[in-house]
Amino acid sequence: MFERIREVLLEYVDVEKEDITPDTRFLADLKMNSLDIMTMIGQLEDEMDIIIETEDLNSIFTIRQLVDYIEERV
Amino acid sequence: MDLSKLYIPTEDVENFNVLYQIVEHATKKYPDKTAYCQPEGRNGDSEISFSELRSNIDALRASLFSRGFKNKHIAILGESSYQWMTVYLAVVSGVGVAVPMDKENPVQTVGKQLDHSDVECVFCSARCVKKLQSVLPFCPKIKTVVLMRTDLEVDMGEVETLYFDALIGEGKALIKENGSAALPETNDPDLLRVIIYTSGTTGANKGVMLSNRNIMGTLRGCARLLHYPKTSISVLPINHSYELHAHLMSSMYCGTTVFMNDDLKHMLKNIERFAPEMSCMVPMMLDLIVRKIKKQIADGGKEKKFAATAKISNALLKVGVDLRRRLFAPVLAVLGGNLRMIICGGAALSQETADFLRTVGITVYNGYGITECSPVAAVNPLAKVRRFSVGHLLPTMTARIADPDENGNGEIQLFGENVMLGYYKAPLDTKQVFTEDGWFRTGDIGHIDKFNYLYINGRLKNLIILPNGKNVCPEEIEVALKKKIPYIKECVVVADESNTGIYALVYPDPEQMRDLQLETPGEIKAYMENDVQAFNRDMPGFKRIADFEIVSQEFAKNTTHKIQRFKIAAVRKKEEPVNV
Repeated sequence: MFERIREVLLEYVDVEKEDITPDTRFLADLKMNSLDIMTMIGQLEDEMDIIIETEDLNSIFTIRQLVDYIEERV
Repeated sequence: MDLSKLYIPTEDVENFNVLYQIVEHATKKYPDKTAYCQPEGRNGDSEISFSELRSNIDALRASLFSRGFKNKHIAILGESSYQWMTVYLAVVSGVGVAVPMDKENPVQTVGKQLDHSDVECVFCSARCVKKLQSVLPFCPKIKTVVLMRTDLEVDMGEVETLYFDALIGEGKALIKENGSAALPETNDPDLLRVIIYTSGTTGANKGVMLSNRNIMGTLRGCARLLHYPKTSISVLPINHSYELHAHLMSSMYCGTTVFMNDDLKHMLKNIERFAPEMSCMVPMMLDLIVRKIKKQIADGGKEKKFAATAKISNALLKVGVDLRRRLFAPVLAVLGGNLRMIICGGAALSQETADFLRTVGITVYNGYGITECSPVAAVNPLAKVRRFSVGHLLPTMTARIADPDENGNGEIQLFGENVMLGYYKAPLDTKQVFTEDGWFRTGDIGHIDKFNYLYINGRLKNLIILPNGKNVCPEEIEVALKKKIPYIKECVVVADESNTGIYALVYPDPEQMRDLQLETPGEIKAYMENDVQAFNRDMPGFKRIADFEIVSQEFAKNTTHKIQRFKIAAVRKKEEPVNV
């Protein structure tokens, strides 16, 4: 799951693949803006056929937290 | 410049002074055309024509009127939908005062605004029911909730619960029985009809009071400079004056079919699916579109081919041959293939982004506005886009530059029918934003060229304007952060250079740090991380702290002990320590 999310992330940020780890933070480390995050979430929803509630994103700051959230629902 | 070439003839709208005249105009001119189309989840899409829309607006006016809602304050809390538009247009058409709410705001803010604006009735979508239920105990003035887009049974406690569809049915029966006598008068152009909350030019949350005439000032002004094509997509929050008036109401005047994007998450997907010709956006969205196009080019290994084609296309364009739509058709297909016009506002636009989009065949019409001006003050006209300018002043608006410097830059002040009635229940705040001779002080610095095009250079106040158009008052975040994390002694909130996020510079209380045996900035930061995350959970996305930095000395202050922000901003640019 981490690998899959990392692949999708690379479509939105200009960093080296190796620099993205489970503890990487979307805002602080990747400097993603809210629209990038929302669009990426929409893409993950389509690819994995799940619904990620916008409110739940309030508690997701790192890739590890997103992986855990999605794994619980897939 | 020959104004007859710049201005679009608009005799039909010249005498309009209430929004309901736009509804009548669209119904008369485009009765069977689809006004709105919106996704309904697994049920596909639903549509409504201009004549059906008017019939529903009238029905709601009749039912609200008969139920005694005349002159009541009525809030709308929900995502973009034609039901939302129906409520808005019904309320402002002779019923009462519409209060569009930002559904993304935290519960406390929603509660405060509902109470402050004296709302007695709330139209609420299914998605916002939970939020409304949490604020109702703190809003004793609310007597009625009307549920939109749902027939779910919801417990609202003591508050009367009604259903949108039932009110429409009731209103249609009233009109059938009593004809136009069932409807309230709409001839009230100068009465307070809308309250929209904004961070305003001075930061704190204020309710901007608008009349029908104010809003019509924007609509008539825009109609002279722009004409919208047949299809558009609504991607910005509907409660924002920019989306609501400059996009949705202007679209209605032009007979444009608007596709309602159901969620920001689906924006790109819906643009591709609905294939609109235009949209109104904020710079952040344009940047995303540019990245998407560039990625598509890179994935196909066609960077060199693209650069060569762009060079030829731009050269041809200079001699009047426009082949962009044909040459870049594969690139534009990712946006549905029809997108050719984007109105941009809300924040500073990068000229590079606008130039790239122009190269592939999408013209960006940059504009400038402020909620207090209903909201548009200037926009680049169809006839002539000027690079770096935020547009030509609306013909319904006059501007002047106060105390200009040697380059002609000074505070932009505006006068005209677009300018608000004032801030709701805040006469002192209202007084502050008007000059003694009645001009509205925007707080923005800029100049006007000889052709009446406006250019923005900066801001007088500390307000941070993010690329998504959201305004962040740094002082508000600083107060909230210190309240949530009591061991912060001082903090300053800033935006990074590209304005993508909000950052905090934190000076922790040294005594408490000693007690906790935290010595280095690294140790303190690690300790504080969880508390900042907890703070972020309670804040709307655009007000979250992306990252923070620990500083080891108090911030420089002036004689009245106020932190000197300009010093921090200047030092940060040089990447030197902040506490000098």
